[in-house]
Amino acid sequence: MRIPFWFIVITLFACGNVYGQCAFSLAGAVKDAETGEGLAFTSVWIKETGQGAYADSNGYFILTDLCQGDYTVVVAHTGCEMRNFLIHIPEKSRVIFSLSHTLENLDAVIIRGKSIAPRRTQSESFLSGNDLSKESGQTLGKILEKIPGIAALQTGITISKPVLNGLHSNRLLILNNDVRQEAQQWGGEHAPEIDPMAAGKITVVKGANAVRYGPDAMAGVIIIDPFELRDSSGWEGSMNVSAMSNSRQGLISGRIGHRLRGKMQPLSWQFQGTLKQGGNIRTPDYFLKNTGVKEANFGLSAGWNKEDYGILVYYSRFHTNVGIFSGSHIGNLTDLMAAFQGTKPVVSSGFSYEITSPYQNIVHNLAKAEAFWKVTNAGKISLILASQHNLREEYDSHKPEVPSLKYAVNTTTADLVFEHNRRGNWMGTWGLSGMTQANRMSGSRYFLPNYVNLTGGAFGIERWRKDKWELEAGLRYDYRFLETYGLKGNEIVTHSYRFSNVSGSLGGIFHASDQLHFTFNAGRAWRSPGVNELFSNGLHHGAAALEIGDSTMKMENAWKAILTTDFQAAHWLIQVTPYVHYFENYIYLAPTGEVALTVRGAFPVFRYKQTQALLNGLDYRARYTLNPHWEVESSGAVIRARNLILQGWLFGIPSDRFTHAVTWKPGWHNHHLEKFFSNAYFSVNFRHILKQTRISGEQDFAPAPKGYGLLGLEAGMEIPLMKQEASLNLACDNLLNIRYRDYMDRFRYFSDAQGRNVRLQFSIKF
Amino acid sequence: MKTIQKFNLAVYFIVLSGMWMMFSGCPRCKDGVGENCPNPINQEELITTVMLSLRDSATNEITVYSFKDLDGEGGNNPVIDSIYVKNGHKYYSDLILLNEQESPADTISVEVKEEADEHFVGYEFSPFPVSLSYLDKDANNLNLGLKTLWRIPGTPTTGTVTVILKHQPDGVKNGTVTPGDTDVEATFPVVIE
Repeated sequence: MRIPFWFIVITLFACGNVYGQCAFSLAGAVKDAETGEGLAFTSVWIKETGQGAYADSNGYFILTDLCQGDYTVVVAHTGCEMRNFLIHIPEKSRVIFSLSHTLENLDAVIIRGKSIAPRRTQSESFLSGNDLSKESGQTLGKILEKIPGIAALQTGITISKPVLNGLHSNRLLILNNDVRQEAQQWGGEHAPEIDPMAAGKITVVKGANAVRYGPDAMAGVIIIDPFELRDSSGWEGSMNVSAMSNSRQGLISGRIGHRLRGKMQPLSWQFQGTLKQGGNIRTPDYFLKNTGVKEANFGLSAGWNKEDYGILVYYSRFHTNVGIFSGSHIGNLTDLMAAFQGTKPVVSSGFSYEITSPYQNIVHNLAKAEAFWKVTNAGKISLILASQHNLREEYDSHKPEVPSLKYAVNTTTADLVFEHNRRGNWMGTWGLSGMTQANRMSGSRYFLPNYVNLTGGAFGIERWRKDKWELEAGLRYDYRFLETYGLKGNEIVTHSYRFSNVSGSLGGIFHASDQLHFTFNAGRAWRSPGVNELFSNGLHHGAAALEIGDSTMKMENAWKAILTTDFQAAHWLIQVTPYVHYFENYIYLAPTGEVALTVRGAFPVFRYKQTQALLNGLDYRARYTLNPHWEVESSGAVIRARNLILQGWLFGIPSDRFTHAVTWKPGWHNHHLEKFFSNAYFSVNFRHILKQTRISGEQDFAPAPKGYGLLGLEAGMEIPLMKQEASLNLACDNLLNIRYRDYMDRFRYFSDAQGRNVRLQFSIKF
Repeated sequence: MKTIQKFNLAVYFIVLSGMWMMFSGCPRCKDGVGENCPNPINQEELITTVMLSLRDSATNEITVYSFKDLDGEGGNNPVIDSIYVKNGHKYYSDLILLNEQESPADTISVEVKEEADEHFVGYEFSPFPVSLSYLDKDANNLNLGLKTLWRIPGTPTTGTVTVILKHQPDGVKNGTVTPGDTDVEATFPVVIE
């Protein structure tokens, strides 16, 4: 008798609207891989909720009204063994499983395409599908603000970088396409060079995750996965168009993918591209001169994928030109104070798309080759080789024809990872990784020395799973060699550093019941001081302060413990994530009280120092679904960050913030309406940012701005357009057009924040 | 056989990674040689020296006072001369700005004059008032301030004068010191004899 092979295709259409609604559906087919015939009347149901359906005579089925979350999907067909699949909704828009089903080996489930990785023991949150596409046109930092615990560190609206649990830059790792994003990430006004439109899914992992991803992942990791290559023969594509009223920004983004047929079936490719242009931002009362942005990005990938091996090549280019608000260009402290005391900036402007100096010109190239091999009875071995080239040019309003600061950093990484097959209750991942980096700077101002940097590491993570428990432990060792080449007059000054340390992690998941899960993790991470922290010596562009590094700085060590309580029942979804983060040798910029006299006037002197620090906080999200039409959601984040040596507060920590939303889904009773405007929703949200009152000493030039509340509206629906899946979303931010300034925005010294902004977005998949 | 394949694959991958890293490696800067060695920075915009040349209208005697910060921002403090003027006298003042890190020194005030419509020099005397006349204008007939006439009050006292050079691009120049960003803010002690 031939062993029957099963092929189950489960396609998940993620069509949620407000983050985490019960409007998802799971559609797919159950097929016999041998004959290709659908298996009629297979029953498919969700274990946790009891929702279920029978496949039709062709093997197709659909499950609707699913909430976001992790589920066990049970598939059963007469005469066959019942199978369970773990599915996260709406993690993927398409998931394909192929199942080898034998009477002898019931546990051999081979997951084709990308496996659903086991849940991390750190706290995880996702953004994908419509939650991402409806934010099109926003910066990555702004999009991530949807996730409780993330705030945006901004330089106006066009430059924003994510702050996770109070930490950013060198303490928060961004993994783009499985490659560490390496650029000039130390800078507060250096936003991640990533096109959010290229992301199929964004995962935020809170908790020290240095073991798997290497040092620097102290606060956590932001993982950006591109759209996956198509897994069955044929074409696919999508188009996304969006417009914003405030900056008159337009964006167009498209994606096309193809998988060949026949002998060439393993070959698939994809192209994705984005064009974006916006003009001057408008506050409620005035335009901000020179705040436009122009961006052109693309990515190209091709892969050869077989059941047990695959290779992939990928190339992407990100290019942006960002204007820096003319009114923020200051020469000294007097200018800064004058700007702060004025009710509106001296530089006035109308609307324009023109970008003049000062501005940033940034190009980021990523080339990657990836291969995996599944070794029978052992596991999967994979290799990623990547090269990144990042160019950053900052132009001043003086001599705009040459950049005043220019950095070019080349980074090469290699990661070799082995995931061994499950053995009894154990599964695990072991790996080696290496990185070489060279940073060169030039321009008409001197700020940082050149440097080369070599890093090597080895890690192992093992996970034990039994009944309601999953426990995980990991250990990693890293070595870093850093050599800097600075200038003293015309002489080259070389400094060499060797850092090495061990990172560790212990965590677990306890499934108390199908509704209640506890996830906990305690991890240790470290990082070597950044070159800016060691050697900066001069005026920071735009900041009226002299920043002086300390070349004797020690490495920073951190311990983070995080616990997530996850409760999901019929009407409720509650996630509460408290954490404690302790730092030894926490590096920060401390005011010294000294004043340095220069030709440009007197400047306060700040020096990089180290202290013991403790960050405690709590993120939460709660949703109550009253009935199929009404839903209430609230989320928030609170952080307390102490400098333990000075017994004061740390600087630059996001204040307490809360978002509340009410959503109404009409659920048309009229069949025609339902047909043409399915999954329509309306939502009102209120974002409440409190004043940062926890400030000590002379850390800042101006008092923290007042707290504020912003009212927003969102509406969306799906339209069946030429039998394609299309959706239309409309949103309005700062509906009441209030004047406010945000503590985490560097432009708060100079101008109000953005006024009312209406966003319209349309996307279609084919 | 299987074991050998596995072993081969792992070795192949490791060798591949090693070669990848080596080929793309980052050469160190040794003895000033290597592509990662720093290039001398040409700080074109740097002003190290603010010089005031004062000519007494009565005697035609010229005295030059300077405010020098040769190592730029940070590092050593600037060296500042005290200005000595006679009460009741009139002085013709010439402002000269230099970058003395260049050799020969770069005269930045020439560039300021060339871009007169984007610059303005203000003089703030404290605590005594000095009647100040501007003797140069830009193409838009707004004051520039490289050449000025100072009328010193009639009582001996001491105080300060602050010379402020503002960069006022994009049409913000209005003949006052308020708009723009500061390129120079140098304070000299003043003794009225």
